[in-house]
Order: sequence, then C-alpha cells, then structure tokens
Amino acid sequence: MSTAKEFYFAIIGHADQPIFEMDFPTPSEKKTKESEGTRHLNHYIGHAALDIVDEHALTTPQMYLKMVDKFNEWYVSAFVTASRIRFIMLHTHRADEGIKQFFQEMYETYIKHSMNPFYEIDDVIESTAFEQKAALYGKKYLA
Amino acid sequence: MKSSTSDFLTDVQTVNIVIKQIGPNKSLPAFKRIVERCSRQRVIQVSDNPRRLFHCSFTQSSSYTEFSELQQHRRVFAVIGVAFTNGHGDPDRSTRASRESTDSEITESEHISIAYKKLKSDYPNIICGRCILIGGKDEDFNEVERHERLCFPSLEEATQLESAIRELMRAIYIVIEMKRVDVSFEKKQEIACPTLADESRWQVGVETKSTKSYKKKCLGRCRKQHADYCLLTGLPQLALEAYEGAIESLKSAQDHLWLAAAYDGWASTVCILHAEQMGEINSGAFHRVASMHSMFTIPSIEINTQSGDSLSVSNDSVLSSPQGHKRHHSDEHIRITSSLSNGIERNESFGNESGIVSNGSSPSYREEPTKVKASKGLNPLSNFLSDRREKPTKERVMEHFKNAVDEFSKFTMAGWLEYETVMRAIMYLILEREYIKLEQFHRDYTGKYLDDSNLFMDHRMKAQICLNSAAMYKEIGFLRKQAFYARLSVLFDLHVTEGRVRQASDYKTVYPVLFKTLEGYGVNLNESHDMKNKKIGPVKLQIKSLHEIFTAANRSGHRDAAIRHLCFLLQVYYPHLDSSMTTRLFDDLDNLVKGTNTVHQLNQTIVVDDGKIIIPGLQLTRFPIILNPTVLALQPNLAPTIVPNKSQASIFIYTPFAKKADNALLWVTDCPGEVEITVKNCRGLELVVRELSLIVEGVNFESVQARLILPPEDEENNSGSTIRLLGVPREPGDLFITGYSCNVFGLHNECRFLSHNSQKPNKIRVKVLPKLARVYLECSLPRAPIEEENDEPSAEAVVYSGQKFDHTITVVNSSDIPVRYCGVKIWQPVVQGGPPLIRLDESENHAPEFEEFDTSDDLSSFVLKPNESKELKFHIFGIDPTSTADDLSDEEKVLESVVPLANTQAIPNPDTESNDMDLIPFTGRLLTAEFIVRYHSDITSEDGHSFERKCKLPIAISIIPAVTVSAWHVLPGDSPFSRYIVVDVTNSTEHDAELVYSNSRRMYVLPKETCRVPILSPCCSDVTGGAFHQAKQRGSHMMQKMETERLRLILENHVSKHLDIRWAIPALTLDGQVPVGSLLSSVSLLKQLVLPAISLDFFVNGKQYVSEDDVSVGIGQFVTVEVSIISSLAAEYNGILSLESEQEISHHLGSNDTSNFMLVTGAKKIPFTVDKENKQSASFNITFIVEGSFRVRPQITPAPGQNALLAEDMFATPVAFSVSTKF
Repeated sequence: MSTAKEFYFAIIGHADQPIFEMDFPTPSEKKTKESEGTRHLNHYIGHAALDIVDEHALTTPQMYLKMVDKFNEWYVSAFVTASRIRFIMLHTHRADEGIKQFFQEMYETYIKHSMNPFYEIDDVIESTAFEQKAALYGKKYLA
Repeated sequence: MKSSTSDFLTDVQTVNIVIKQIGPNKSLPAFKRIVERCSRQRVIQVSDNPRRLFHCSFTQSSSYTEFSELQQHRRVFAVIGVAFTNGHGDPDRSTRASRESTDSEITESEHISIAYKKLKSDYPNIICGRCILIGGKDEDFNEVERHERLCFPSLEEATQLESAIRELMRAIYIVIEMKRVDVSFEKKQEIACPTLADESRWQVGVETKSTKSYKKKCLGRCRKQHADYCLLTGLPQLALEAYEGAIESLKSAQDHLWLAAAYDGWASTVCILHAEQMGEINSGAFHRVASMHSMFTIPSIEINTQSGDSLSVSNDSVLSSPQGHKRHHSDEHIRITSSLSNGIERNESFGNESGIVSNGSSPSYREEPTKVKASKGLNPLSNFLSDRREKPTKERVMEHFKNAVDEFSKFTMAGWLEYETVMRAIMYLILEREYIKLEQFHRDYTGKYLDDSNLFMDHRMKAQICLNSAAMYKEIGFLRKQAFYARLSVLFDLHVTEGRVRQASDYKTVYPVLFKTLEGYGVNLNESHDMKNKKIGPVKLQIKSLHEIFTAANRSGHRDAAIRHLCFLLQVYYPHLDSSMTTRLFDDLDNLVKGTNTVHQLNQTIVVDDGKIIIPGLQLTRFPIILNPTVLALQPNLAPTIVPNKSQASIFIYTPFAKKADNALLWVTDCPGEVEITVKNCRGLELVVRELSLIVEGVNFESVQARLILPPEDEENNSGSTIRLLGVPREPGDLFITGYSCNVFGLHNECRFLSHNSQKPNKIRVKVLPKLARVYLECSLPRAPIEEENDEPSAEAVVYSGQKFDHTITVVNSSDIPVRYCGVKIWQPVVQGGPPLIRLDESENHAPEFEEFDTSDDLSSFVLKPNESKELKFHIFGIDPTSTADDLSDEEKVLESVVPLANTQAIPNPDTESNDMDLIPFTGRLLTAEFIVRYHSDITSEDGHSFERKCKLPIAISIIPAVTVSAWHVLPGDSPFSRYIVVDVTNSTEHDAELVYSNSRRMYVLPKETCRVPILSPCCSDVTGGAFHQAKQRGSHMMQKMETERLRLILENHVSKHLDIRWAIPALTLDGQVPVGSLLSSVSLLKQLVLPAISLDFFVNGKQYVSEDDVSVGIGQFVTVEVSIISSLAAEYNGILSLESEQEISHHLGSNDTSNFMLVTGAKKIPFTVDKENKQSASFNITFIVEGSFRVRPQITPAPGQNALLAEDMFATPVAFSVSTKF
C-alpha cells in the first residue's frame, strides 16, 4: 500500500483508446522507468472501469461520476463529457473535491483544444500547451 | 465449477447424482456420451397440478458434501456406476492387460461388482444407486442388486437408458417427498437435532438439551431441512414459508451457521420464484452440465421430461448464453421492475401461502384460487406458521443475502458457502438489472476472497472466483470487466508455489480464458484491419493481451495458434511496436517457423480443441505492402480488339443505348497476361517474398510465381517498387483477379487486393478471349536491336539519298488457327513531293473476296491458312534527309528570285509567306517507317464479333546524304514562257560525283562542293496565275490546304518530268537520283512556274536582258530600255507601263525608291493593250544622275475597269544598272 498520493489521469476516446495520459505528481526521471512499469496496470484498471462509467453515463445526468470503481489501492473516479469522451482518474487517496475541480478545469481545456480545426475528435492530444495546463491543474487541485 | 452465474441459483433446487466409471475397462468417449444422455434427463415433471419439476444434476464429483446436512442440495442422493465389459465400449486394453496380470483370479464381473460397492460406500448417505453395464450379460453380475443393474449389450442398443434414469430420479423424488411431508418435528417435544459431521469440534461450550434455546435450534434446523426438501421437490413457495419459520427459530437460538443457511435459502428461493416469474430462467433451462462443458460454452439443450409427455425447453434466454447476448442496462430496471411489481401484486402465488410453483412462462391467474386450495393440502407446515409474512421486497432479499453472508463469515470453514451466497445475491441483482449496485456489491464482497491475506482459499480457488466474476460480467455485457477478471484468474492460475514449475498443461488451461478476453480489449480477429485505422482501441492493452495470448499458446504447444497471434500482432500493431519488441517478435516467429517442417497456412482457420476456439484466417498485408494492382493490356502485337459485326451495325450513327465494345481489358487464352503492383517493405530489414503469385477466380489460370528481395525502407526509398506478376489464362471467359498469395517469413499468405479506399475488396474483371491466331513479320532487311519494353522485331536499312532498293517482307501465321483477313499498311513520313520512303510493289493488291472487311486503309490484303506465310515486295527510296524544316527557313525565301511588281501590295511579305502550305515532312537523317499488318482470326464470338490483332515491323532507315539539293532559284528562261530552275547541288560525299541532267548534260561535283545546275522548264499553263491567291481566299484552313495541295500536285507533275538529275559516284560504284522532293513540296517554288498573266521581257539598247549581270553605264549616259509586254490572258488587258528605280541598301533593310535619281526622257508612262495573241512593246530612254547600283523595275498601273495584277500574275526580271562616273 503506497502512502504517497498518486494520481493517474487519462482521457479516453470513443474507441476506448487513451488520447491523453498524465501521472501526478509528475514522475522524476529516475522514476520514469518505474512508472512505465506500473502504468500498464493503470491501463488495465482504467479500461475495466469503463463499463461502469458507461453504465453510470446512461443512468445519471451528471458529468462528474464521483468514485465509480476500486481495485486494490486504486480508486477510479470518472467524468463524462457531453460528447461522451471519458475522463478517468486513478487515485490512491480519496480527494473527491479536488478531483471534481480538476475534471472541470480539464473539461474546459479539452473543449478549447477540440475547437482547434486541426484537431479531430479521438486523435491523440499532443499539444504541449494542453499538457502544461493539465500539469498546472494537477498541481493546483491534486497536490 | 460453475458454468454460469445462474448455476449458483439453480444449484439450490437440484439433486446431486454422482456418475463415475468403474471396472477394469475404461472408455472416456463412451462414458461422456452416457453422461450426456443422462444429463438430458435432468428435469422431470413429477406433478401436473400443481406443476412440479424435479431437478437433478449428473456430476462426476461433488464438493463440500460435509455440509449436506446444512444444505440438502449438497448431498449426494444417488450414485451411478458405468462399466464397460470385455469387447465393448472401446476399452483401454493396456490397462486391462495389466489388471488381468495382477488380479488374474478375479473375473471382470467381480471386479465391477467390487468397484460398484466401493463407489456406494464412498457416499454413505445415498438413497439408491444404479450400475450401468455396457456389453455384459445380466446374469454375470448377480452380485449387484437386481434392481440396480442396467445391462445393455452395447451403447447403441441402450434405448432404455433414459427411462431407467428417469425411474431413478423418480425414486429419489419419492424418498425426498416422503421426508418433506414428514413434519412431525413441529409437534414432537424431543426432536433429533440435525448436525454437521464435525460440528462438535468447533462448537464452543457444552449445550444443554433441555433448554428452550436448544429446542428452538432443533426446530429451526428441522424447518430448514424441510424447506430444503420443499425446494428440491419443486415447491419453492412452500420452501419460502419454511425458511421463514426456520429463520425465526434459528435467530432466537443464535445458531449462526444454520441461520446463515436459512437466510441464504430464503433469499435464493425468492430469486428462483422471481426468475421464473420474469421468464429469465425457464424452469426447464435450469441445467448443470458444468463438469462436461467448459466455461462459456453451453450448448442448446432440449429437455425431455416424462416419457410420452415431452417438454421441450430451449435455453435461449439463459443468461449464460455466450452468443447473441444483448446487453441490458440499468435504466431498463425501471420498466422491468414495474412490470415485475405488477406481476407480484397480481400473482398471488408469489409471497403467499400457495405452495404451487407457477411456471413463469405461462402464469395462469384464473386458476389461482383452486391452486391455493390445493396447496393447503400440500402445505402442512403452513398450519403452524402464521400468515403474517412480509412480502419479499428487493431490499429485504438483499438484506437476507447480506445477513447470510455476515453469518457465514463467522465460520472460516464455510468460506465457500459464503462465496456462493454472494454469487446468488449477484444473480439476484442481475435479474433486477441493477448493474451499478451489482458491481459495487461484487467489489465489496468478493474483494476479500482475492486478498493475499485470505489463506483459506488457494490460488486455484481464487482463479475460479475470478473466472466466475468474468462469466458474470459477460452475462451482463460488461466485456471490459470480464476481460479484467478473466486475466486476473489467469494470474492466479499461473501463480507458482514454491518448488513447482509451470507446466504446458497450466498454459493449456489459461489459453482459452485469455483468448476470450480479446473481445473485452476491442480486438476482433475476424475483422480485416485497415492499416491506416487510427482508432483501433486501447493499443497498449491490445498489444499486451495479444502478446500474453501468444505466449500462452506457444507454451501450451499450440504452435499454429501462436504463429497466428504473432502475425496478427505484427500485422495490426506494427507501427505501435518499439524496435526491440519488433525484433523479439520476429525472432520468435522465426523460431516457431523453423521448429517444424510444415508450412503454416495463414489463410486457414485454426481450431484449438481445448477450448473449442476457432481462430480465423489472417491476411498479412503489411509484409509486404502490395498496392495499386493494375491489369496491363497485352503487348501491342498481341492485344486484340473486338470488331463489331457489320451486319448487326446500328442504324444510328450514335445511340447512348448501344453496347460499347469493351476493348479496355482483353486477354487471350494461352497468352501471358500481366498485373502491375507496387510493393513496399515497411520493415527496417531486407524482406524476402517467395512464391508471389496472383489469385484469380472465374477461369482456369496458371500463375507464374515470383521471388522478391525487397530492400529496407528508408527516407529515400519509401515509394516502393513496381513489379509485374504474370499468369496465363487457359480458357475463355470472365477472369476475376482477386488477390495474391506469397510465402513470407516461411508462412503461406493469401490476401485480397483492396480498392483505393481500402474498404472493400478490389475485384478486377478481365475478359479472356478464345485462343487467337498469331502473325509475325519477317523482312529481308537486317534485324535491328529491340527496346526493353517491346519485344517486337524491327529492321534497319542504310541508304544513300536518292538510291532505290527492292526488298521483301514475309507475313507468317505461326499458329494453327486460320486468318481470314490480313491487311497491310505502311506508316512512314509523309512526303509532299517526290517518291515516298517506302512503296509497296504495284503487283501487291487486294484479294477480291473481302467485301465484309474495311479494306480502304490497307495497301494489300490476303488470307493466311494455319502456318502459312505470304511474301510482299516493296521499295525503299532514299529521300533527301538534309532538307529539314530548319534548312528551309527565311534563307530559302531570300535565295528565291521573286520579281517585285509595280503594285506595292504585291510585294511578298515575309509574314504572309510563313503561312504558306509548305510541308516539310522529315526532320532527321534517321527515319522510321512501319509495316502494320492487322489480321482477323477465323474465330467469331457468340454475338458475331470478330477479333482483330495487329503486328508491326518498324524499320529504321538511316539515310546518308550523297548528292542533295541545298538551294534553288527560279530564273527567267529563254522566253517569258519558260523558267530556269537553278538548283544548287551539294556533293556531301568524300568522292567526286558525276551529274547527268536534262537528258545528256554532264557536270562533275567535287567532294563537299556545291555546283549550280540550271534546268530549263516551261511554265505550266494548267494553273492560272491567280489560282494560289484564290485558294487562299477559301473559307477554311482545311479547304485552303486542300486546294493548295491540288494545285501543287498539278505543278509537281509538270515539273518533275524536267527535274531528273541523276548522280553517280564512280569511286563508290554508287548511283542514284538527286532527291528533289523538297523542291517539289515547296509551294513558293512551284508558284513561280505558273505561267503569269503578264510577262515582261527587257531589251537594253536593243539587246535582250537575260541575266542578272549588271549593265554598266556612266552618269548621264542614256540607255534605251525596251519592254516587251506579253499576255497569257484570253481577254484584253489595258494598262499603263512605267519604270521605277530602286537601290538596295542592304540584305536586311531592303531597298529604297530612287526614281528621282533616274531621268526618263520622252514618254514616262506608256499605255498598252495586250491579249493572248497580240503583244506590245514600249520604249524608254533613261539615264542616271547619281553613281551606284540601281535596279529598274517595271510598274503596271491597270486601266480603269481592269483588276490590279497580283505579284504572281506578273513575271519580270529587274534590270540592274551599275552607274559609275567614268566609263
């Protein structure tokens, strides 16, 4: 059981493909390899939680779905946009309010990004500005 | 082992019967068939009114039988031994032999009897047993009780097996029913308390049997058992009431384990009733054949109940059905629960005292009162229980389940019982469509079983729990969750304890489980993946799961499956793989391929027996990438065209409804066809592709295999290579080219061509014509080198300009098919004047019988029989190669002598001259000509069309200039009616040349020298002077051209008779004719040979002026110039003649009028009247007052009423004067 607060944020496209991923706190270079090793576990947990997210999205009008799943030490919170793009957050500690605000901010950032005429829905987000924003909001709300 | 979540529920109303093989002879297939036949009888109807069903399951093992007192459905009520006697049922002879050697004194029948008794003794609590004997005689097995023996001569003849099984089930039912109706415990003061076998071990303290609490405990346990019997005998409604009574008693007695079981029983019974009500679980579809079927694969089964009264029940609606499962969502629960609640309210059989089980599929409300009455008789317990029962609500059911779980959790040894209760609760939530609650409940309650701290369950059990969860999620359509739990089960399955190594059998077990997870990760092996598809899903997970499946297949020994998974991984995910992984995968593939001698067929479906898995074929289109298949037409000499039948020609010139002859893609039988493709290698290493050939449909086709070595792709080389695939169609018809096959990485690969949008397969249609005749040409000329792309033969010849040679060309029919028409054409440079380059001999002409063919373009036509040939004679003439268009530019015009006339408009304008109809055809010294032979094979299609082919023989003729014309002038001749054509003849050779012209005149030309040959030619009177001018006034360019050409031909015929200059080079023994084609094609030259309307002849001081030599005069010296005016016009012409003087400034600037330097004494203008018969002379006295060179030109001003003369209408040579001071 990890004592440090860890977060893994992913934006999931319509074909269940991650189009943006980020870990919080941002791993240092030394830990990058280590985080790569554990990231695939996050992929599995996040992917499995999508069934519940979809089920919630059908039954509730809310965008923020709170905590929807849990596996071992990882909680899964989710947010579904109007266009059914899913935001998934895997976290080791409960931080509902922070995650909610983070999701809201990321939703706005995502909308702005998707307004870019050169960006197609479901494409991988490779914008550094988007990444910086995500990192900024991560620091702000998930610290 | 549960095959479905619903099994957890159905188990509680199912009686266990253990069936095992006994005796020395074993036969697993035959035993499986018997088990299957028994399993088909798992439900019998034991009562019509009320309708009661009795469920049995035939298992080979039973688990947790130690809890059979607690939960009667765990008890083994009967055993069935299956024995195969000697010679029947395919016994294992080796086993038998060994047994016989050791137990030689024991007979087979004794052996079976002993084994059967042992089987019965293993299950001491059984009610009865049966021994199925296949192949033996009944009397040989007397040691087995008579009523227990079921002897059949063979399995096929065991027709009574089913009825015997039903009889056994009925016997068990009667015993249980007897136990059920015995409710004497309710009245007895002292009741024998049902206990578990080892209950005393974990019981704390000493129990006083006289206490009220003990009595309640006993009563509660008896009620619990009674409820179990009710459930087993098909009376769930009664069971529900009995469970409630048991709960009341056990709760007050604080008998936790039994209370847990009672809670579980009550909630499960509600679930069963609920499911039946909803029709979710048909009573007949309750089945349990898990031991014989792997997870997820439950066959559709028909159930026969009592003999003669067959009840066919399909399990289509069973939740475990793997195919066609429709995902239900939580939002459906509102609709369903509302219908359910209505059902509950209306159906009194639910939640009241009725002991009648109503079949959910056909509930009959009208019959309810009678059923209630009937049930009163069946329900002795209801007399003792109050009617004040709470109706089971969702919350109450879940509460009871939770209570059961809580109570069970107090007993470590009942862990599995607790888990089964959890799964039954989950089943209830599935029925309620409460998927979110289900997921939460599942997470909360099953998590602890999978925890590392749970030591009660080993990793096998944990794997099983995960597998059950996966099955449950699959049932509700949560495929991603299913994949997650299935993978988790694999991790538990492969958990290695100390001192143990993973075996191939471990991987064989997990492979089918992993395979089923692919769907959850969005991998569809059936789909042909578009390589450009960006949205293929969670790529990283897909790669990882595919790699895991590959590893499992490889280690479990499924080599073909491993190769297929590996190829799929490389095909679809190659761009997403990092280089090290790619290398590793290719190495693995290489090792797998090398490990066997057989070639893996990627296009074939693989069936993996273990899990009944079918892996579809794969098209490995990435290695190599083959794009843009283009069918090429046959080579020009082989390409046929369809010639429509003339007799069927349409009456319309054009109609949009007419069928167009499709000549685009025509191949011919036995004639190799080619398909061009672009091949790319996207790998960073060299790729070897073997046996690359086309795949076609439609007609018999022989593909030619190709072998390619493709270099690695880099930044410079990424456009791919273009290659051609060959094949020979062997019969006529429609050929469809669908794809290609090749051997790559040692695998046989077959792929379809994809269309440009890569969506639908590209099927290219080619029409194959019947076998046609083939004709080729042979020439007496030497053969020339041929081009790479065209293997048609060609000939070459070298001639000196002006030479003429005779040659032959042979048209050969090399096939055994006759040619019914063969026409010969010659394509060559167009020569406007003089003889052509190639001319067919006059003796060659058309055969008369070709009326049906269009022979207008052909110079000669004939018929060729099979293997026949025809020889044609032709002549080659060396036309002048030096007279190119460039040679005849402005210089020619300058060189030509054009007499300017008095009328300024008539002065030749260089701009208008460029629009002349001069056609200079040849532009080089190497000229090419072609013999074109088109031929029709003697084959006609069904619709009357014939097939035409063409063969060509190109001839490259190199013309060496010998003696050629370099320039020409037209000068006035001896009289106004003749002209000198002065031709500058150049000897281009290194030797002296002798010229013979004008019949006998001779002249020698030195090497590389030019000499001037004057040839006197009379003017042509057939063309009038203004004819060319009139031709230019025609309405269109084409009409102008045609008229000019007509006039040119008249003049050419006139002039060519006089232009016969022959040359001979004695040193080279060559001779020939000076080619004057360029002269004859020059309209500007020929124009000057037209007899002009007015010709003027000059006499200076009484002497005729004939040359261009200047007349020398001094300043002030008078000269008499007499002008003789001659007319060729039929009509009289009146005009005024005057003289003008001009001085030439330079070649380019032309001349200026210097008439004021010339003094004319006497009449300056002299009127004249001339006609064809009468000529007139006019005399002028002139002198010059300035030094210099002057040219005196006549100027004719037409009289009023007369037309102005055009430049070409008047011919006059200006008189040149050289004026000097001294003379």
